[in-house]
Amino acid sequence: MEARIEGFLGKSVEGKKSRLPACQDKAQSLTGLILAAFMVCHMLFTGSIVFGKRAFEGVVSFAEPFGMTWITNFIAFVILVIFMVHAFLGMRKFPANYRAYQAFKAHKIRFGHLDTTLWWFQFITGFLLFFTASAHIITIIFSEPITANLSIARFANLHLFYLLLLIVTVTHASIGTYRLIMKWYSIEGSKKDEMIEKRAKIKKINFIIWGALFAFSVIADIVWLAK
Amino acid sequence: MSRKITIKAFKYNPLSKISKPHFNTYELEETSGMTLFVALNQIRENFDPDLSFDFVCRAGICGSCAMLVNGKPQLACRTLTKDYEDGVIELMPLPVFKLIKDLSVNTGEWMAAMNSRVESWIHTTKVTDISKQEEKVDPELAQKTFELDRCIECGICVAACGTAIMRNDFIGAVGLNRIARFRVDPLDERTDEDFYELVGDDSGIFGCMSLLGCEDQCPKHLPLQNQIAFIRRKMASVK
Repeated sequence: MEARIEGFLGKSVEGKKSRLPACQDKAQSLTGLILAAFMVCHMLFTGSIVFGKRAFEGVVSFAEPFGMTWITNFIAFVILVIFMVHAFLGMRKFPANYRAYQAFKAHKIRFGHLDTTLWWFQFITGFLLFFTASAHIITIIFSEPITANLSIARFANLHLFYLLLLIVTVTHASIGTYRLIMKWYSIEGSKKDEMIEKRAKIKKINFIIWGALFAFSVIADIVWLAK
Repeated sequence: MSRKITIKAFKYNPLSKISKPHFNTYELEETSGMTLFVALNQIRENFDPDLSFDFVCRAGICGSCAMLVNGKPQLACRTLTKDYEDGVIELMPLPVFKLIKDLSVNTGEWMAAMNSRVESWIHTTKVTDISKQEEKVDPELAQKTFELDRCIECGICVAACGTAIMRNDFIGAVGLNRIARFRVDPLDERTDEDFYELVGDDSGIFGCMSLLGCEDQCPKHLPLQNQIAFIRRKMASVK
């Protein structure tokens, strides 16, 4: 009954606002952070192929100790759940209808403001990830134990898909981590110029880190293809 | 050496049945230290007496003359024409707000609704006795309050906000700054729980996507990113 009242009024029976929007906001940020951290590890792990098949197999056996190969499938399942929660919460920010979409797009073009444009990329890539990331994670959940040869075969079949997935994921995650800092961390400074400079520095460091990871992954992709 | 500048101004009267939205182009001689406010007055005097735009103070204090200058919301009175190298300046009214005519919008109605929503006044149980000296306030807190109270409600942060453009119920940086201002004010007795009731939802603090157009365009250089992140942390930790 209380839920019905709150659904109708937008207020609890005590006349208070729901705490759920606060939880959703925190959960969106937290799931995004986990996924971004996972992506960093993922890129480093798969990138180990640059140092040869043995290095890659070494990383796999480190991640799956005592031959427990199900760990990868299980982690992929956990990541899928976190990904779904993040996608569901992220959807709240999407343009709700064509008018909102049109208004934002016109604003973005008119304004020519980098942070605003970055959000547009985050929205587009977020939408694409619904399909591309899901397809990849589901494949891993049901995959055979990982070996270098299996990964090479998988990559060789779908290299364009993986390249697209890499671009889309890195774009989304890099903007996401920057925005995460902007959302929760107050940039202090005695003057506004100082604050804006600090923000530019944070932005630069963030994108340099992701850019380096992306470059490393592209090199790894070429190595995968060459194997 | 003076040069010719071109001003393209949006023209539309939503109350007229024959008015169609279009841009009118005016060419004028640039003078030394010319602001858009000066240019617009020249246009109205010499070319188009029908052109509507707002202004009061001419000094960046009242916030009336905010408009989109080449797509960016800013105060016309503080925009120098010489800063536009190609000499072509396109003017549009601020989005989000109700269009009155041409470059003139009604920010007052929107701001009144926002102020009413965030209950933009001191909430106190104390009764003021004006025959006695005012209660002392910590100078540091007073300074912090004044700093955030410098907002002139020009509407630039709202027009620069992608969220406000997509969702007409979003409170905008101006509203969140009001919350920050009253929260720091030692005279206001409201708690974080009380503030949560006002902005603890997706049309309030949790709707903000940190696009930071507000921060970058605010003509009063208010520390909006800093304050919005602070309010978000406070509202997210309300039990």
